[in-house]
Amino acid sequence: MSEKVTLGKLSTGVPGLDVLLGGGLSEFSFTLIAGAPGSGKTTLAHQIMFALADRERRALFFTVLGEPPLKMLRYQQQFSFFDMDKVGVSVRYVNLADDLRAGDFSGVLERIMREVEDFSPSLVFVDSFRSVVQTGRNGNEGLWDLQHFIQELGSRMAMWQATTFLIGEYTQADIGANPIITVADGMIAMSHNEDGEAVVRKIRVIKMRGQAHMSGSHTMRITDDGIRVYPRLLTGIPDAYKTIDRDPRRIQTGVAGLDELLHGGLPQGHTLLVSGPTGIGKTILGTHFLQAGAARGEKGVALYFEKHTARLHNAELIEMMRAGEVAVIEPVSLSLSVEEVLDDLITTIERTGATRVVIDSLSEIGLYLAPEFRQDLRLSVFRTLTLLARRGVSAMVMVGFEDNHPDMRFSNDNLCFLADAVLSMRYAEVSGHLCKFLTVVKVRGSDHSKELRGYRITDKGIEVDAGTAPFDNILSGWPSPRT
Amino acid sequence: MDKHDYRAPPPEAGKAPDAPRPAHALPLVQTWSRLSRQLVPLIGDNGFGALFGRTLRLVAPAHPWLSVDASRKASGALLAALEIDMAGADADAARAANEALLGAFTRQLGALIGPALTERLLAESTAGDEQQQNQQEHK
Repeated sequence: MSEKVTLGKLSTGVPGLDVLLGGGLSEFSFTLIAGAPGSGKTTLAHQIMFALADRERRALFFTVLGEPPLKMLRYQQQFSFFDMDKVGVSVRYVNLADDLRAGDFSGVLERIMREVEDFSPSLVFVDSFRSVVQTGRNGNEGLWDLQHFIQELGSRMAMWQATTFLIGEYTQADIGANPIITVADGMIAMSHNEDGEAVVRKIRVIKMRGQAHMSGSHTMRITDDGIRVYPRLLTGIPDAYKTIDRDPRRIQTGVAGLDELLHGGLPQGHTLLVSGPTGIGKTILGTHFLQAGAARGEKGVALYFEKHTARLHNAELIEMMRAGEVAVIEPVSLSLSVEEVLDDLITTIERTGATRVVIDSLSEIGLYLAPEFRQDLRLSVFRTLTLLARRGVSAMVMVGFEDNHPDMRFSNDNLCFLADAVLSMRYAEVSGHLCKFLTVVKVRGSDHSKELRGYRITDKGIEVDAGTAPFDNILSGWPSPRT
Repeated sequence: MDKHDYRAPPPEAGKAPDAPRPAHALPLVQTWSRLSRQLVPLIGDNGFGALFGRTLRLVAPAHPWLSVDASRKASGALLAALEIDMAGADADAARAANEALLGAFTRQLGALIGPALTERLLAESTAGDEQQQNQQEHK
C-alpha cells in the first residue's frame, strides 16, 4: 500500500480547465493567475470561487487596489455562475485598500490573517496582486521584503489549509524574474493576443506542482456563462480498434443516382466531401441530404458560411427549419476561433439530437476565421470532422473548387484527405452546352461505382442519368462522344 | 451596543461638558454605523465615504440643516457631523431626513450593484436594527 500523500483535486468549474491542469487544482495549493488587464483573470477567479464555495468550503476574496470592489460586483454578477445566494454566506469580500495605504506588507498580512481566522475559508483569493507589489516598490513597505511577504502568505495559507489564488497583472516578460513565480505551486497565464484585426484569447498552465498538466497555449472564450477553455486535444472514438464494422448501415443521400454510385448510400457516420465549382449544385445536394434525413425522422444541422441571400430562395431548407427538422447555424463574427465553430456545432447537435450535418462550405469558412485559424484551415477542418466522427454523425461537407481542366485535384489544402468519402462534381462542354457530371472518388472501407455520370438540376432537384456518361475525356473539360 | 458601533463624539470645545444632547440622534446614526461596518470591509472607508457623501448631497437640498462638507471623506467624520446635524434638528425632521438618506443611499448602491445584491449586503445591518428594536421592546 502506498504511503504517499494523496493530493485532493478540486474541480475548477471552468469547462476544459481541469483537463489542462491534469485533473483539477491541488487542494491547499498556492496558484498565481497572471495576465494583462482584460485577459479574464478576475472572471476566472470568480468562476472558480463560485463553483467551489459552499457553506462548508467558504471563500474569502480580498480586493486590493485593482478593480474597485463595487465595479467588480457590478460586472461579475452578469455571469451566470455568480450566485447571489452565496454572497455573504459562503463567499465574503474584503477590501484591503485602506490597510495597504495605512501601513506596510506586515499590516496587510495581519489583516488577511485576521479575516482568515474570522471566516475560516477553504479558499482565499487576492486580487490584484501586482498592486501590492508596486506599492512595495514605491517604498511603503519598510523592512518587509516582497518575497518574504509572499512566502509568509503562502505558508500561512497552506497551514490554514486554504487553497490560495493570487491574481496578478503580469506579462510574459515578468514571469522569469519575479520571486512570486518561485514561491507559487501553480501558475496560470492568460492572454488576449491581437491577431491581424482579431483577438484570440489564450490560457496556459505554466506550472502546477505535483501533477502532469498539459503544456502549451490553449484557446479560451468568455461568454455570458464565464470562461470556457478548449484544450488542444482530440476526443478519441471509444472502441475504435475493438470492433470491425464490415457492413456499415447505409444512409440515403437524397439523390437516388448518387446512392446507386455509393452502392446503397453513404456509410453511416462517414463524412462526404463534395467538391465542385460554383453553380454545380452542392448546396442543393446538401438540402437533399437533410431532406432525406427529415423524411426518416432524423434531425439535421446546417452550418452555413455562405451569404444569406443564397438561402432566402431555398424554400425546402426554410420549410425544414420551420418544421423543426433542421437547425441552421450562421456565424456572424469575422474573427471566429475554430473552437467557437465547434462549440456552436456541438451545442446544436446535442440540443436537436441531429444525426446529419451539412457544412456549406469549407471554401468560405476561412473568411470567418481569425487569421491564426485561417492559416491552418486544414487543422481547423480536421478538428471539426474528428468531432463529427466522434459523435457518429454523418456529414456532407462542401468545398468550392474552381475547375482547372485537366487538373485532377479535388480540394485546396489537401482537405480531401480528411474526408471518408469524396464526391467530385464537374462541368464539361458538350455540344455547345455546359453540362454537369459527377463521380465518387473514394469511400473508405467500402466499394463504390467508379462511373462518371451526367446529371441535371431540375425542379425536382438533382437527377442523375442512368448509366455511365457516353463520353470520354470528361475530366479534361472537352469530352468526346464515346464510339 | 456593539464595540464597533458608532459612539457620540466628545462635546465641542467651549460647550459645557454636561450639555444635554437630544436622544433622538444617536439611534439614527447607529443605523449608519452598522451600515458602514457592513460595507467598509467590502468597499473600503473611502468607498463608503464617497457613497455617503454623494447621498448627503442628493438629500440636503430638501433638508437644508444637513451640512455638506466636501473635505469630510472618512466615514467617522461624516457620521459625527451627521449626528450633530440630527441632534440640532427636530426629532421628526431628523427621522424624515434619515429615511430619505437611507433610501437614497440604498438606491445609489442598488444602481451600482443591483437591488438583489444590495439587499443581501445590507441585510445584516437591517437585521441589527431589528434585533435592537426587539431588545428595546422586551425591556
